[in-house]
Amino acid sequence: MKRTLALVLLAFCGLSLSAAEWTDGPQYRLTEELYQPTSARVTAMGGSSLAVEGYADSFLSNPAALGDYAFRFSLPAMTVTVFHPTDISRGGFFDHAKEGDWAGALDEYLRVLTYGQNEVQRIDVGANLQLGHLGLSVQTQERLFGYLPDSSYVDGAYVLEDTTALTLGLGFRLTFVEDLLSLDLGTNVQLLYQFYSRQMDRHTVEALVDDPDSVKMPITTGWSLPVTVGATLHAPWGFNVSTVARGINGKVYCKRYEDFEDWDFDDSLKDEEFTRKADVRYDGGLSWQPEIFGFDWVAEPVLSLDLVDISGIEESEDLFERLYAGAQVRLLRTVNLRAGLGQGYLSVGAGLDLAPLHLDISYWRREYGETFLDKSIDALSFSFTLFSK
Amino acid sequence: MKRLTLAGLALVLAASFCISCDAMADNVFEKSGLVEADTSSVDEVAKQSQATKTVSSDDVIDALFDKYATDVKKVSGYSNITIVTKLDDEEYETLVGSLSKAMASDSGRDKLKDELASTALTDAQKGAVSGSVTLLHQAVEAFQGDLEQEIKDEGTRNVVHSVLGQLASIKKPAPATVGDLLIVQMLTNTLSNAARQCATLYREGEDAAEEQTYVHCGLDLLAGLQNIQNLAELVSGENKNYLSSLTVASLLEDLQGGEE
Repeated sequence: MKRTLALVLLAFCGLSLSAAEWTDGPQYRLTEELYQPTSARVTAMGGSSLAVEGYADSFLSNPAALGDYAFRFSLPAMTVTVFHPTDISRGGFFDHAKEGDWAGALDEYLRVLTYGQNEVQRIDVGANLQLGHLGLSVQTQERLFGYLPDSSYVDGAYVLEDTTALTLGLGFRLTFVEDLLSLDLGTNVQLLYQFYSRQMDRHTVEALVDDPDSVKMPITTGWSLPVTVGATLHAPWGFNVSTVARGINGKVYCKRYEDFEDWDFDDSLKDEEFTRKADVRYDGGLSWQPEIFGFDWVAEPVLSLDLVDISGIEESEDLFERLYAGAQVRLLRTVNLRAGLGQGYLSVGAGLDLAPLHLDISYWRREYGETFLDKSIDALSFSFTLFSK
Repeated sequence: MKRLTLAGLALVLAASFCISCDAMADNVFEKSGLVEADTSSVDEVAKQSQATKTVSSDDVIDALFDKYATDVKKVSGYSNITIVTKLDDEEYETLVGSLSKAMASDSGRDKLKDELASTALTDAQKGAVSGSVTLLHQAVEAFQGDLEQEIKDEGTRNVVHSVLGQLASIKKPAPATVGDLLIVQMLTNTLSNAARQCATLYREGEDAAEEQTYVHCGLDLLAGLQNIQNLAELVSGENKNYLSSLTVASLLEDLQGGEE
């Protein structure tokens, strides 16, 4: 039994067979996504965040948030996301886990995966600092993907991705009419370092059964220095209009290693084997954060709406796929209730601000299909933040 | 005290929203008719199920079981019957691909459920569903008695034992639906492939059979059965959720011969 568990765990969560060469394929498609840290607050609001300010991580969505002169510090800012939570809770996962049958539990956990792209789990850990108009952030994100050519996870190809991002941001404010009309401008420069494993599949299991000592972990590394530029116009009555261009200079320089043990950080930064081009993405956002004079301590409402990748909109379907909207109300400066609509799917969430501790939870859903409405996956995110919210 | 009350309220809210997850699976834009999901994979499945062919069991046994064919036919109560024809590998891959794509899509899944519940089968197809289940029971009986002892690898023998036990519990559906027909089709392909691979390995040994090992065959069988298991969850009737107690973890354990 112990060996079974070890096999399943090794096969699907860790190691892979050494291979002479491996190429790009659909199983690596999700590794090409633009990096964005996960936040239970943002996912609860349907994924909209561009024009919402006042958080330690706001400048990661839109560097113009650094136009607001403030001191904010969060360490750690941690989010754990579980995908397919509804199906997992309905299956036998918890029964197996309760009995200590971890192989059975893992079997139930993977059985919820379906044809095509899947995300199995995601963990974000980081620290954010806003010092006046300067922003500094260190984030690491680990994601496990699964690509299924049919509906059996035994036939699936699994890829583990790890991204580390060091972000340095700067912003300033142009005030036109005091407390009525101002423009925030900001920019982020990010050092992104990513690696992802070669696909782990049934051949990996065969190799493990055949000769566990032969198992190696081939990886691809990639680095880039993308720049993000953002602007937010603060209009009267709490209206904000934002626009962000991200992925400028987004070319990724990649290198493959036949085994993780061969990897060398300095070496991976020079003489790239191949490059991946990332297009610049233009996003737009609106928010309404009204001040209810004298009653701010009772309720602080926020409405927001984002339209991402505006230049990619060609048909009406594209518009719906790129639309993210959300609402939040902060009660008694302690409880946050949130709801949203991301890509047409409802999301909900709640947060507790018990300074210095901040806890957030969200249930959300997003598209993973080849085309819009092909396939969606639900997710449950928990965020834990200390010090500033 | 105020904060504790609020914390309790937030936790209750957090717990309660999980209960209404089903209501949140629908796409608002699709529900309101603003966009339409592509469910052509379900139409493809329907087309493929209509084209399902039938064949005489004698012909299949001769082709599949080679030297064991005579033993299989000797089983008490066997007579030549009409069964579902095995698809060639390419056709089968297309069928499984279309089914899997339809099952992964929220709208496709609902449409597929309706399609699977349809009883619009030809008389030959209805007879073939019943015939295939009869043949399956007879084959299980034959293998349990003889072939099981002839598989030298203990792990593979354990897997065959578990799988045969599950297959013996499959019932003849009445009335047969498109779902039953597809399940029988998938069983036909999965089991005949497994039988062919095992026979090759038994005859030639792992070294001679290029890129074929007992583990490879075992994983092929597991993947095939899991595809059927997933489809069975959408099928209404007597065979709903059959194979549900078959887990990859337990079979992987069997495949290792129960080693600690």
